[in-house]
Amino acid sequence: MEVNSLHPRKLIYLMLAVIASLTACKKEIEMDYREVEPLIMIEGRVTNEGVSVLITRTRNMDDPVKGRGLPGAEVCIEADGATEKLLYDPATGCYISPSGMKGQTGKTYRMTADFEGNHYEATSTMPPPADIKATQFKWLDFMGDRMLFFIFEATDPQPDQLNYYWYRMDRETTNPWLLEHTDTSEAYRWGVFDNRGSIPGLIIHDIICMTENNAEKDEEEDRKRLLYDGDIVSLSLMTIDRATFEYFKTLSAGQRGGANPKGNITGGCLGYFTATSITRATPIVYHAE
Amino acid sequence: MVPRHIRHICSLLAATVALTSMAQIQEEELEDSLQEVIISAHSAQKRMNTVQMGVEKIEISMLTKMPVLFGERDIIKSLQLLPGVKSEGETSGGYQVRGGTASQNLILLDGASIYNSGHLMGIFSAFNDDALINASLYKGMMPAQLGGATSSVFDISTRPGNMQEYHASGSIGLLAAKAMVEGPILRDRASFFVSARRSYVDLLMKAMKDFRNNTLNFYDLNLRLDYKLNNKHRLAATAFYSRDNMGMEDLMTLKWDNTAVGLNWFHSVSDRYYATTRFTYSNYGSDASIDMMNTHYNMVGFIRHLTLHREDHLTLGSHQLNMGLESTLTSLQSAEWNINLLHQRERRKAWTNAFWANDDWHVGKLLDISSGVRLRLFSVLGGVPYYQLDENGDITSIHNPGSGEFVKTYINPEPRLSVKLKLGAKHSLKLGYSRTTQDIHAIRGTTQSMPLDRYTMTSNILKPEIADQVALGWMGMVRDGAYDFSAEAYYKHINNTYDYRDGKSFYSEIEIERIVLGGRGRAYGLELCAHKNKGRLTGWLSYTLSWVENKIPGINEGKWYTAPNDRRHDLNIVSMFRLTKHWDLTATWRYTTGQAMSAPSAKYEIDGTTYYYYAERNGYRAPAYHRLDLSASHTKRIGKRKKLTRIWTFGVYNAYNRYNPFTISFVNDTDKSTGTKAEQTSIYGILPSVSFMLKY
Repeated sequence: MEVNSLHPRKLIYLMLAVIASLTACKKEIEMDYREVEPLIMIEGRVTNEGVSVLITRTRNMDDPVKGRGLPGAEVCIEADGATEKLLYDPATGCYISPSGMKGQTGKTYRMTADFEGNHYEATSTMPPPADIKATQFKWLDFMGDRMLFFIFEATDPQPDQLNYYWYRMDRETTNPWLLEHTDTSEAYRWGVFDNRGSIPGLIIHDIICMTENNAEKDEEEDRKRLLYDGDIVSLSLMTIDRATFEYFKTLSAGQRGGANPKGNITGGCLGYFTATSITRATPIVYHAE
Repeated sequence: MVPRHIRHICSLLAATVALTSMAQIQEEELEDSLQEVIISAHSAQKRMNTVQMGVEKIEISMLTKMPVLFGERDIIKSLQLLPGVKSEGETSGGYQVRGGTASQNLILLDGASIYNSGHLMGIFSAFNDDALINASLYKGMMPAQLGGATSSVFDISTRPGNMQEYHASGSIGLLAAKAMVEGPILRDRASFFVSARRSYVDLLMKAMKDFRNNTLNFYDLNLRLDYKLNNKHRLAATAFYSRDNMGMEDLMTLKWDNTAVGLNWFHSVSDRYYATTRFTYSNYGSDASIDMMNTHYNMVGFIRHLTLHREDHLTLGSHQLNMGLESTLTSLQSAEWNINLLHQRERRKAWTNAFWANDDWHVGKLLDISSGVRLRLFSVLGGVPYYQLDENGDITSIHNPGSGEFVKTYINPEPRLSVKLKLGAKHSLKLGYSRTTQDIHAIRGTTQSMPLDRYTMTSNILKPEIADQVALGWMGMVRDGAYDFSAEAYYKHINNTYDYRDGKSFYSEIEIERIVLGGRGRAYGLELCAHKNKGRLTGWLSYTLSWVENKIPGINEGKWYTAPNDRRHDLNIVSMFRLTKHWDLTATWRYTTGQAMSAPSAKYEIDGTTYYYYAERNGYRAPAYHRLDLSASHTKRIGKRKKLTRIWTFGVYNAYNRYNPFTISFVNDTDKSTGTKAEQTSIYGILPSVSFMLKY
């Protein structure tokens, strides 16, 4: 198991936070962002559940509206010498397979997209799925407080080699503030990790959710990170190739350091193309103790 | 446009200086002698006469007057007030010299290398001022006998024990207490010096229910024995140990330590020839662990040096020659980690040899030349695997050279030159060039030094860092050294600086060469300084105008970009005022242009979540940093025979409670009309402190 959720750097931040807790201060500052010409962003996925390609443009920093999928591109997926042209679905803004094409383990897929005179292309090979065996919430005593973890176990499909995973945790809530202020398309938690150090054939991953103290305080700035009694939590686990792993790793780290992730799509756009196996856990309900 | 509050502070300081100067003039008329001169006029004359450029001698006695954080005096924090030297950040004990990073500084304590020299993540330095006698900072321009760092060498010497009398002192601050004892073992022949310091935050934490199982302490120990064999031979044995322990119950721990021991033999053959032979061992170690839920992580690193150093000084007419050699065996573990069932380790060994000759030539009344060359041979040794990489950092082949086998040797001649031209009795012009190389590379994930930094050495893949610096300077003094002024301009170019590849961090791969990229850097600037050396009011004003840029393939499309440690303006005002026989007042004010940072230029969605697109690396600036620190110390001799000295020191750190930027992050916020907000986190507000010292 790789320690992605419990990154050692967090140890430093946590310790600094304790040292500085008496005087530290947070405030909003004004920034004068410099605008750039919009860039094309492609998010392409072939999974065992279907195929979708989303093409959007970057937005200015003062644009509050999330981007919609752009029509007008010619998008194709090719595997084993057969090519299927995807169709634009106005409901989702994505290009989808008209035949209901689904990805298969071990196959290499090639995506091509022609849009506004530019040609974009990428390939990805689909790894075998990792079956989720169990999920649970667990509290840990921590410095006079308690910390809530969401833990999942899954089968490592290829224990003899380095495998990469991408997980996404969603929650369905009835909390009125969250219903008003959050976008359900956003993950509650997500991350990527690899199977270094795992028990052969088994992946166990811990995800830090919240502290009991913060849950009791229920401050507005923390609410998106808090779970509320009755929230239904679901988990999807994707096995991914190295390029996708590197992309999301850089996406996560780069947001702090000012680096853009390097995708696997040629042609000068942002984004990634991945062939991935998805497994989903049975949703569980969070009960506050 | 200078912000209004800064103008107010400047006005306030100017008024304070003016008022205290007026008070001083009046007092000077009343008192016929000065009680104490912090930086003497002789210092100005010495600075004037020194042929070496870019060197700052630190007056240890000055430290006792400087404002302190949590009641602890700190040589590194004082260093950060000098021209061309900048702090890494609010909590950091690291410092940056002339556009370099803290990892490009070498700190020598009695000749032994010290790494990550901060206690409590850098809040205090590991050097107890009680144990120090002098220190010199070489800002990249250095004589041939020094080397091993591309940015600076900070050469610190510990204090020998008194050979005639016993002395002791002890002090208690808010967070730490320390004690010192020195005296003769054999009168006029042998002496000892011992000082120790320990923090007691953890003892206070024991009283708090929620924190009693946590660990937060540091301690350090200095020991020195001196022995005069006769008038021509003298031995000194030194030892230093510092350690930090941080832990949150049994869940997370972080420890780091420095050990340095040395044996020095000073040998005087005649008035014209003396030699120093030094044998040192140093060990820096770090250990980080997490044991939480299903995560069991431990990472251990170290750097060990075993060094023999021989230096011969010979005076021949107008020439002062320094010749010598230094041989160092280095063992470095970039990491050994256990991540649950995974155990990996990367160790390297190297043998460094350096030979030098330096000549300080007093050509005539007007001209002095210091010239020399240092030949550095760095040999990468076998006994561990080495590999070849492709452009993505993937291993293409591995080879296992035998133990002691030479894998690769880098030979670097390092020419040094400093010329001083006297322009009358009170002015001098200096010109210098220096090449320095560095073979220990710290790879840092943040802009501040951390115990989790990974270190590596020059190898078959990583090349030595090479810096070339040219500098031109002027110094002048007036009124017999009551005031002196200096200006120094520099340009520096560095080859083979290393940084993480995008998306990589210290634990991404055990093979550190797979996660770093090499590039170039350049820095240039102007340093101005004015000292007031005499009178009851002393101090200095230093200003640095500088630029720092990097060029690393794969970052910023391979173009030059502003380095994260670029800060255009840096201003320090240090004033020390002798109010009465007992009271000393000190104020320091520093202003620094905000740190260069990357801010997004656009945003987009991935999997439903908004992320940011960065069009340029470090193209924006954080808000400026400025801070006023105040200190007042009351010194009084007490006891029947007045042999005891009692010192109370009161300090206020960040006196006008400015929350300076520590980090700036960009977060999605649906309550904002733009959907995004920039958030600044600050560490310290105003922090008062008090410490008490008793000296015998």
